[in-house]
Amino acid sequence: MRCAEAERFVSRRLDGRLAAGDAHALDGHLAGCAACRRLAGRMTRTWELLGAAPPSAPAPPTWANVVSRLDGRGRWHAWLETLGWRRPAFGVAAAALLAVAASGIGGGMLLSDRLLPRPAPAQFEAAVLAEAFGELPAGSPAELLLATIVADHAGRQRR
Amino acid sequence: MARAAAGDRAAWHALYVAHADFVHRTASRFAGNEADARDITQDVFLSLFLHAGGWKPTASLTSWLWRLAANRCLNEGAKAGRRLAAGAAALETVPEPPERAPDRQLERHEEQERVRTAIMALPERQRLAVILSRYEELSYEGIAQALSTSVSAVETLLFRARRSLAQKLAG
Repeated sequence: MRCAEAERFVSRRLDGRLAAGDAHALDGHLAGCAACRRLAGRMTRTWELLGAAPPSAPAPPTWANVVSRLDGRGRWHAWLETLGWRRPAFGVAAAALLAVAASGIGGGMLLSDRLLPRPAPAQFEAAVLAEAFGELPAGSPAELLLATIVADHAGRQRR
Repeated sequence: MARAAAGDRAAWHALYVAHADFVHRTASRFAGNEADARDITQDVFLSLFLHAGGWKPTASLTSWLWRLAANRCLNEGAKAGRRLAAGAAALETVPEPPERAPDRQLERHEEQERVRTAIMALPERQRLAVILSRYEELSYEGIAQALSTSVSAVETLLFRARRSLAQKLAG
């Protein structure tokens, strides 16, 4: 028997769930393993200590406390119902939540498109390329790329 | 229970009187403070009364209550764990037993305090398994039902808890 198995068997024995054959094997292991014997002793002592000194447990709240919580809930629901509120079905609530989230995200995207000034694409790319390469050498691939972008943008604006 | 399911307050009262003790005892040992234990106990019974209509006569009311109580304890433990994260290290250190106890009552009080601290330092599911096993004497099957887990998982929880408690308490 390995030590890990022996430790589990010690725990099982404390719960009275160790089969007789396993108990015999465990005792054989403990007889030859000082570390497991020490752990078994500690586990047993600790379990006894827990039983001998249970943490205190005061009396439960009175029924009046529970009733006041129950009535508190009742009043709150009644008040909501006078305002026309009804407990929504889960599906309806989920759909409403999704609709609010979708309109928030969609509205945000639309507004940000309309309200925030965006640089014209060609100016933007030109600025990025100029920043990356400095003065573009005539005939370089970067200059050709920039010319293509500018021409494409101008064509789209004409359309 | 059928009357309770129909919303009969007298039946609710009878259920509360019959079962509040063990729910509160467990909540109190689990939470380690009376304010949280009272909240847990009341929440368990509010939940029982509000969902009494869903109770099936095939299920034992006690095992249903254990399940509600365990679930509520673990939720509270998760919240308390976040609240007390900074103080968790303090719980890891269990006070050493006194060299010589001048008084038997003091010695007993200190022993109880060491046990309480060691139990509170356990991870929540281990702590609950120990409380249900050692103090409420639930079987592995009963604990497995309360914690919505398997019997072999309960065995592992108890084994780990015992090993950890042995390191902290046996000295």
